[in-house]
Amino acid sequence: MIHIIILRIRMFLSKKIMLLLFVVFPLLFSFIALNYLKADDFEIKTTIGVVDSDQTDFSENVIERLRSDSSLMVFAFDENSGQEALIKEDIIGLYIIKEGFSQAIKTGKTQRIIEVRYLADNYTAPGITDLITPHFLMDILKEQTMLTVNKAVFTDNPELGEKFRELFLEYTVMYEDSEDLELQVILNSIDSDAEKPIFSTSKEIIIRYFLSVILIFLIITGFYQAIQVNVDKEHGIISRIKLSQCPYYQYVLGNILGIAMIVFIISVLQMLLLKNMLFYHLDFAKVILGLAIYALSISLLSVAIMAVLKKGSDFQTAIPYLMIAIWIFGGWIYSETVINTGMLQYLGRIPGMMIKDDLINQFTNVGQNIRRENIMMEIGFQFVLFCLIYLKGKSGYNKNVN
Amino acid sequence: MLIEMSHINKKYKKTMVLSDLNIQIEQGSISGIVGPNSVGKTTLLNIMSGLVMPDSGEVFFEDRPAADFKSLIGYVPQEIALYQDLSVKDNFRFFSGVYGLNKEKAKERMAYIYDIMALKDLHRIKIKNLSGGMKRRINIGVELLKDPKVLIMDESTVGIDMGARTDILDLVKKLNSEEMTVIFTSHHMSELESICTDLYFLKDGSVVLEGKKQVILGKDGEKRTLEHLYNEIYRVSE
Repeated sequence: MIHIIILRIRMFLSKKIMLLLFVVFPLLFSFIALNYLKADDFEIKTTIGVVDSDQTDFSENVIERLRSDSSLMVFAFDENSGQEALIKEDIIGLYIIKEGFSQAIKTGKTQRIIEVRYLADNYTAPGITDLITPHFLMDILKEQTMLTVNKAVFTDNPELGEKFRELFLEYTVMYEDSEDLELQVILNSIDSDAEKPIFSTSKEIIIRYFLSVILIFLIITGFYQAIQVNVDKEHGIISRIKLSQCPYYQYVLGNILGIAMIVFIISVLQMLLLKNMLFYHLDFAKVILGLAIYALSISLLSVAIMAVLKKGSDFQTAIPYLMIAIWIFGGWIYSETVINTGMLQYLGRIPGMMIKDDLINQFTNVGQNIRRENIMMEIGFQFVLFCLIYLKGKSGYNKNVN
Repeated sequence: MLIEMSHINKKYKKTMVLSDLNIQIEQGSISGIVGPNSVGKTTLLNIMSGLVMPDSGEVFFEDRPAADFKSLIGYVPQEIALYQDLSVKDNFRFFSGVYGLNKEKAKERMAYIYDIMALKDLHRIKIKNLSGGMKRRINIGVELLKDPKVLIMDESTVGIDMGARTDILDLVKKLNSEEMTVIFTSHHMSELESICTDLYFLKDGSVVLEGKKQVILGKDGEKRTLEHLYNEIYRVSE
């Protein structure tokens, strides 16, 4: 069996085009993408809706400030149309400024003055609170400062209190416009046991997509190697193996493990790059375990599909086109973050998909574990797939060939 | 007898390929299986090697069931059954592993094959970069790893030039001189005539003429060429 495993790895290493396509290119892609992701000015726009029920200069001022935020794309709605836009997923969240918002803040009552609505199954949406809070927190702080100063110093002189208010607002507005007030988020990892997100919502979406593309690359690598197994059959090599002392189960297992090893080694190289460039918090032990299971699932899935297809070499020419298509569309589907349709739920039962989310969460959250039930399900499906491959191949192996 | 096949029948779907075929291969011979395309030569060799089971009939190797002696039979398929992207050495290493050879034995066999085939300078070259003739030779070389008693060669000289064919025929003679039994098929009658000691003519799924080459070609007191005999047997019926 070990000879078959070594053969698969040797075959992979012997083709420069394979190394370029499945090792160098993905690593280069990761390197460029990580540099882009690392850049402080990197941000994509998060689309939110705003309902101004307060209709005051004060609330308008907050909305203007939201609009000036380069990371947000802000649309004004009334409550009903905002709700519809939310359901249609035109916006990721609806930010409602309640009636009496300005009055409440001016009087120091800051409870229940805003409401953020989002779809229950969109787990990234609550993160928009982080994006919008700083914009009205400024007003709350200003008003609170004025209230406290007026109460403490100008209780007996309301005219002086009003003068102070004008001067304070004038200078704070000037200060708001200054570049010194720019909000900077440092994205370095933090040691923590808590399950908390590390990145902003918008950044997390891009990261999940990026990681999905890497995982898809690994799938394609597995499939391409499985095609090579079919090519063995077409070139008569299988006849030699049939006549050798190599039992059939060893041939099958050797191929499966060989492909899994290739996928695993490439994925580890990727992880080393990711950890050293951006995801400093990665727990390598957990990731390695997840990747090993993922690689084996991908290998079994690839070999199983190729066992059904008669002529593997026919699919070789399709691979470059398939890669481009998957690059463009697959990543978005696989990441599940952007497109979330009912049909895709079935994909969750395909080997590899059960552990995929846990793997991605290792990158975006701190303290996440790879769930045991997912590991067990993956192993269960792997066993079923192996039985299918073995039985399907065994009957063909015993069949007479002309 | 080294190999004995008796009452072999083999059908593919509705086509009867071999019908009540009987054949005996003598130890130390170079036996040529003669016949046009689709006469069942490859099927006969596949059954002989153990790759295909007959529908009925029996195959014996040294008077014992042949299935137990797979490791003593080397079967060189018609295709170049090698990994084109691997080097000569890597192909030999892989197949010696699959054939269950330990490191020492593999090394010893590879040294013998490199020597007998003059491959030493080529061992780092990828199969795909070799000439057709050289590929054919390595295709044979892989089977020699097993150190087989019988070498079955299915059209091992197809698609190569005259020089390369001569090299292969010389190799066959050399192997035979080391007491290896060789079973050979080819569409080149001159090849069969030059190296075979025994000939078997297949027609309609069974052997219609067999025997020592000298006897067959010198029958009825006149000496004929194999090509002449071939035309007599197969063209007359067409």
